[in-house]
Amino acid sequence: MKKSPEQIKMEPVIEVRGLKKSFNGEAILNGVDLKLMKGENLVIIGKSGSGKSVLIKCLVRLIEPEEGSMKVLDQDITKLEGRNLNEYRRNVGFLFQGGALYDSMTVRQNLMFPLKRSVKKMNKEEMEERVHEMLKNVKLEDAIDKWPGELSGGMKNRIALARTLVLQPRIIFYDEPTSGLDALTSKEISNLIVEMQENHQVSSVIITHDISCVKITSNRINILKEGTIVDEGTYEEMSNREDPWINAFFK
Amino acid sequence: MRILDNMPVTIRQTLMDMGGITSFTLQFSKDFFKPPFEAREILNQCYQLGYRSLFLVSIAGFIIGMVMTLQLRPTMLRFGSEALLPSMVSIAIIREIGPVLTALICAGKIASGIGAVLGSMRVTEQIDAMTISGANAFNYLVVTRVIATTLTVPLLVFYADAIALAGSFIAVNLNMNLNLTLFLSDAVGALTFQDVVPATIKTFFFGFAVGIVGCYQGYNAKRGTTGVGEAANSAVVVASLFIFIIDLFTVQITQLFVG
Repeated sequence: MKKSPEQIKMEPVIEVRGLKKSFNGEAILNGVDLKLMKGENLVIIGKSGSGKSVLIKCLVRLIEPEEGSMKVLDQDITKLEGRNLNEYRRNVGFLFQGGALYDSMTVRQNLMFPLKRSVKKMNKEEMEERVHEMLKNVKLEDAIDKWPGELSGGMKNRIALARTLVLQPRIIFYDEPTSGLDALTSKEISNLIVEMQENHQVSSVIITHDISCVKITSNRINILKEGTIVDEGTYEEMSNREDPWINAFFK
Repeated sequence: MRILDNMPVTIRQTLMDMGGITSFTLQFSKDFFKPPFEAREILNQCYQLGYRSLFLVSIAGFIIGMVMTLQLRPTMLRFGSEALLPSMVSIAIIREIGPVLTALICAGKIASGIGAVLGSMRVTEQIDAMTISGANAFNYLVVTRVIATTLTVPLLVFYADAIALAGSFIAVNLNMNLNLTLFLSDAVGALTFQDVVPATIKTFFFGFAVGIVGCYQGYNAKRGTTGVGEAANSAVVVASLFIFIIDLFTVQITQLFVG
């Protein structure tokens, strides 16, 4: 079961103000304000091309915003460089659409890769133990020696989630985690996201078009339209909005 | 920027590529000294890029050595200098044919391969995933590959030279009665410092060009599968162009210093 609003601490882990980004003169983000509370699952909904992915990529500094402030885990991340930026990225995870598993590595190597490069204090046995633990979390221990090419779409996403969790991040960004999956697998992934929230105490920002995923995972929903957040509320509140544009997402 | 806008697309793209490759090379020289030193990945890339090119290099080297000898022989006969055939073939192969031919094969096989692999990693967001995991993706993907090509292309050239001379020996033996000892004595004895050293040095530059161009095109591939194809294609074209330019400069510099 996902957390109830009372269980979520009113302690922001992400505070974004006036975020702006444009590509080739076209404004994609036009002053986004956003807050994520500790332990909360925030879902962002919007039309394709409305800048949802751009927004979360700005929050891990894969894309540089033009204006605005981004305070994550009590630090201003807009000015982070080099070692400090890497240190920040170790505390956040990012699940890419399709998983983005490294094709040339087995599942074990995929999970070992971030550990070997980001965690200095662990020996090989401890790393192996962590890898097994994370694969157990996503119920795919048997796939440890498989290659990404041998996995189905849903398995790839679950392995990618295990790889994201291996560094024990405090915040996870999900970019369309159920995209291209059948309803059953999509539900499994959505339940897994809620399990991660409960068992690992992570806060999450989830980008999705999948309404069943929204229903299962969201504590709060933000609607992104024309580069700004135009509405917010719980699933129950949003699905009863009278605005036909918002209502269309929930039908 | 207005000057660039008014230029023909091909020239504009070439200039932009040149600028991009220059800044990419600067980033390489900065990241080269940054830890961690990915020794295992460098060895893996040497195997993937070098060892797997051996077959193609062997066939091409053998045939070119043989064909060159067969083509030169009638002309040499006409001037009564058939005995100079091993020396002439050897100098041509070591100084020019071996290095340039092998480097062009590497541009076609290795640079395009790197372009395609890194391009597909870029469009499927694998490079972004590496970056977010706190790893230095540039160091792991680019520095290792450029070091590997810089080390393996000279070795491939050395190997191709040897195979080409073997092909030449067989061609000589089809028409002349010349044993291996005599052939090698003529072929190797004709080589001087000016033939070997500049030709060897330029192969390191060829290797570097193959690696850096392949990586640049792949690492900066645009979104979509078309971008992967374009990256692989541009890698071959630009790397081949660089090989000819480096070759021209090496000849000029060699003539300036050693005559």
